Amino acid sequence: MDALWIKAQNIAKKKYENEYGNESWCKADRYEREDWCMTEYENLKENNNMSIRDAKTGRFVSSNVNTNVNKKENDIMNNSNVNANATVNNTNKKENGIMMNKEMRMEALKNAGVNTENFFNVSVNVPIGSSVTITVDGIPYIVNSTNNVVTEVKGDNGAVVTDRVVEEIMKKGYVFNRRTDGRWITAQTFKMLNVDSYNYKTRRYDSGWDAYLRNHFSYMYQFDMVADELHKLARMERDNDPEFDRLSKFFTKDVVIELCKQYIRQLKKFVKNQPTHKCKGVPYVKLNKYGNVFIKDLQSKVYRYLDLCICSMNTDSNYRQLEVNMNQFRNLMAKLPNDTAKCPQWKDAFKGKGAYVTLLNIIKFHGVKVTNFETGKVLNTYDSVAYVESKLDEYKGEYWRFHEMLKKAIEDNNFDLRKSINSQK
Amino acid sequence: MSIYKKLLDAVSNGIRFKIDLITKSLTIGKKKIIDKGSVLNDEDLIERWDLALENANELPLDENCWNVVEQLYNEFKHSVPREHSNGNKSYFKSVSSDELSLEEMSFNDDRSYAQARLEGYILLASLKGWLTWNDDNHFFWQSNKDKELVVLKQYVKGIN
Repeated sequence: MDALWIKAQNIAKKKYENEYGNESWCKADRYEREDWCMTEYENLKENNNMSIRDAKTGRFVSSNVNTNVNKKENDIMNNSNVNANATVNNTNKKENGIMMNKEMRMEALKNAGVNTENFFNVSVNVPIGSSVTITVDGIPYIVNSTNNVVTEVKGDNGAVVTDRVVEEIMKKGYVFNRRTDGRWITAQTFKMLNVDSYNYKTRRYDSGWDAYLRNHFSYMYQFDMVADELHKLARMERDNDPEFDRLSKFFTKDVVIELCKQYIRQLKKFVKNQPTHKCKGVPYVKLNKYGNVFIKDLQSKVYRYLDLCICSMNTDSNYRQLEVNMNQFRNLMAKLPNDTAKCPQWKDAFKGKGAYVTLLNIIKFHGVKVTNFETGKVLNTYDSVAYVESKLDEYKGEYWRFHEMLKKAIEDNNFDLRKSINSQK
Repeated sequence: MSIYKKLLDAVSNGIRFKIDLITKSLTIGKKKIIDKGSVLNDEDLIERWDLALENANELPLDENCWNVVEQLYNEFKHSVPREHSNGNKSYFKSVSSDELSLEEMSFNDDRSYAQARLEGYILLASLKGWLTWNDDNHFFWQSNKDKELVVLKQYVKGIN
């Protein structure tokens, strides 16, 4: 330990206690104490520069010679600094002068009765030979610093290039948002509606959305999908996303808890139908992940921990906590067969969200129009979006109605996804 | 019915498969069908009409198989991956779901199906003698159309 550091600590302690009272030093935060000590240590070091120890004798030597040399160096440095400062000041003065002139001009124009609301001053120091692009109303312009010439940016066709976002707004009225207008969900729903799926039990091909869900998505898919969804929602909640309120209405806490409860019911059913083995006359069951479990131990070793997870889910107040508990539940789960019946609440939410997102997507980007069921009126694009969003509260608990709305919209508009994609090319 | 047709039917119905191009073996479900280059049941490996390509009649399959590989690779590259599954590891590069367009995403084949089509073709065509390695000095072949398609010599010839 340095002797200077101990000195600095003592001084810092005295100063600190003078400010905040007796024994406050002991209660203070460790980092705060270190900060105080560091400042004192640096002060002491500066003062100590005046007297430097001789390496051979160990005595303090007067540092007059050094200080003289330092002084000279300092003088030289100061002079050069002054010169540099002078040049900087000169350039600043020039810029200030230009800016002053511009402001003066603006005032003069104002006094003369000219409307100067659209004028503004921006000054940027750009090295000679480089160029800057400025976008005005979505059209980019290039400013060359050598010629001071303003030119429009042109594409390969020779036409003026406009900003992508502005162009999208001008054409369609909406900007594509990855999170809200999911491409993946749209593609999946249309695949589920149109493609036939193979059924192992009947050995035939079934058609329709429900058949596709039954044949192509396993029972455990529900949990993977929900975990993914909760992760997304938790991030949206953390970032205060404006779409969070709408998108969080489908996979709520109640749906997740109901899904877990249904799993336990299905697991009990599964265990009942499993063949039992015997060890010294005591019956046991073979379970995935748990191995061999005695039937009398099932409650204490398997079901109890799953129940505890659901209990902690009940007290969750946000999606982050729900996500953590759900992952804990997933770690304790034994795998069930693929053709186990899925949770009806989850099915409703899955169906509803898929239909809701695809409806908004095809309305915004493919020109589909929805009819108002109450009045029988065909709505325009903006009203259709508002109408669909307004139904979120009304359809609570029966989100399958969005699916019916989607089917009706496709039928009314004679909508073909492939045709509409090809027409946009 | 040839092995190639059987493989494609099984994969389209969701049955898993495993293809090893280096040791030349194929399993469908839990059944081993080709083991180290030898067919366990005497079956046809592959037929001309199994592929059902658009220009199947124009392509002289026996002579110019590398064109077929290029076509099949293009289909595999833009196929749709499953959302929540790791899937089989492939010998070839493919595009992730973020890079696919909406049209590709909603109408293209499943990735596992496209993978079975491509890898199964390379395995069975090489066993039948359609696919041949032209230059022994090179250890890989790169497509001129798509530079990401690289076929190693051991995929075609196997390890002796």
